[in-house]
Amino acid sequence: MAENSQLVKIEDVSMEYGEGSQRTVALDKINLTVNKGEFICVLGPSGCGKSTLLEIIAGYQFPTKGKAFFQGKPIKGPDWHKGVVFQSPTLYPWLSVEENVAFGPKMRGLDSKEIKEKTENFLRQIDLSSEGDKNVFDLSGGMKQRVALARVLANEPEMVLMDEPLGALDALTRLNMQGLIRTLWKENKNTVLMITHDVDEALALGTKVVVMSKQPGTILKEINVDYTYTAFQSDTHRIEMDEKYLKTKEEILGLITYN
Amino acid sequence: MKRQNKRSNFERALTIGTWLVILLVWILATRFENFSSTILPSPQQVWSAFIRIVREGYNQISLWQHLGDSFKRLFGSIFLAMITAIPLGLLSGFFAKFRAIIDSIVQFYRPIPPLAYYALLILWMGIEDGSKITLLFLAAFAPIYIACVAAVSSINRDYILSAKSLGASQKNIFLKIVLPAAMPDIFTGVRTASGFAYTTLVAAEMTAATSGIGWMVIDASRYLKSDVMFVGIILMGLTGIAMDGMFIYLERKLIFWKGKE
Repeated sequence: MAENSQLVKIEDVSMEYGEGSQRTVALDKINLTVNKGEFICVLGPSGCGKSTLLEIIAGYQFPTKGKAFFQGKPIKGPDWHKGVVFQSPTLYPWLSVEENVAFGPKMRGLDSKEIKEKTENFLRQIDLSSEGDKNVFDLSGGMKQRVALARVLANEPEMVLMDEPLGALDALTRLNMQGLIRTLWKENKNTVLMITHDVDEALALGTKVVVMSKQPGTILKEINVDYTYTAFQSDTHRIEMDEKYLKTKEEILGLITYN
Repeated sequence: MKRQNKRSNFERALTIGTWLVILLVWILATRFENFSSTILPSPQQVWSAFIRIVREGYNQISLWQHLGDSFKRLFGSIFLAMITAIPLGLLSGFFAKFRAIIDSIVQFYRPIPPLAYYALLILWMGIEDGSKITLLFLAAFAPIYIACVAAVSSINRDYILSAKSLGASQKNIFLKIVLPAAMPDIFTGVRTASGFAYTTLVAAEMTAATSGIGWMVIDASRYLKSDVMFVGIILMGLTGIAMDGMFIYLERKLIFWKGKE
């Protein structure tokens, strides 16, 4: 990949909490680059510091050692270029569905015509055009997470960070949401870093799967995969699982279990 | 939202029944026990006193004037407390330095019964509305302020983080996220403050005033006009219920998302 397409660069990042005997190392010498257009899935057991890694890229936390860069500049805090989708949707209940989606563009001071265009566009993409006036607390869990996605995408951020966005959903809704996330990624040409603990989800969506170890979190392996593209060719919009898929899955499970 | 309206008819009947029993005991007690009307006036006497006060007023001042004077003091001071305590409380919750300045003052005067410093306020500001509105303002300020500080610290952290990641400035986070997210708690604070201010109002009017519903009761007591005292006290109770009902109504309208996050 060419140097100018590099979006995120994590250099020897470590993260420690507490002192003395209370000291815990959440992340240990992490190196990671994210290029434009990639869909990176970070996999790991719970407590491996995946969320810490995401919060460092989002600018919510700062590493105790090492450096984190976004577009070549050190990350100084959160901004709209790095959109975040949380595990439980943090929609604002005092705003309607439409107002939630319009929040980002409004905060950035875009003119009202542009805000309206973007809002309508993304409400259509998540298939909730007719629900714009509803209160967010009247929506189902899956719908809420769709609105949360649209709210982040309406800002057209260079990077979309997702922290187990589908973790709280039932299996069927989850499958539909995976399809939606894949379509949104392709249509809007986003760069995505998504955290998950589901190997199948990572293989179904990612262009690269990053496997992390238990505490202290280190990167065990980066695996390039391309199953997500097969979904665009198939009529069912689901990925094709071949023999290699099963081998890769076995390999990842082995890595997580024995390290 | 309408859970409260869905109370069973039986429970409503129990509530109404309780009041009918109280009324009945009152009627029977006054009819058969021969209390002097100074000790316990009968419901009929209280009713006719009420009609008389509505028609002729009390002490050359109409009932509406008495109530109006009381409400002017009450709502004026609650309004003043709201426009000062809400911003100061939210700022205190948001900025630790701000809290360091204001918090200790509020914590110091909050437990003092307002009537304890009322005498000083009268000395400084006279016996008219100025001292009363200041007194009620101080009474109402603390509960609202404290509710606002607590409200900010209990805001979902992800609300603020997500707003930052959507490009909101510090000012917009305060106005568009912190303020609405704190609204339910602010409202509870205002409601508590209104109840406290109302009690303080009546006490203040009883201490020093020339009009108002509290003054009417204390003046009637000096001439042993028990029927007038009963009218005043019942009016106070009903006004308190009406005021609280108004707050509940406003809360349902304005904070429609409460408890649904």
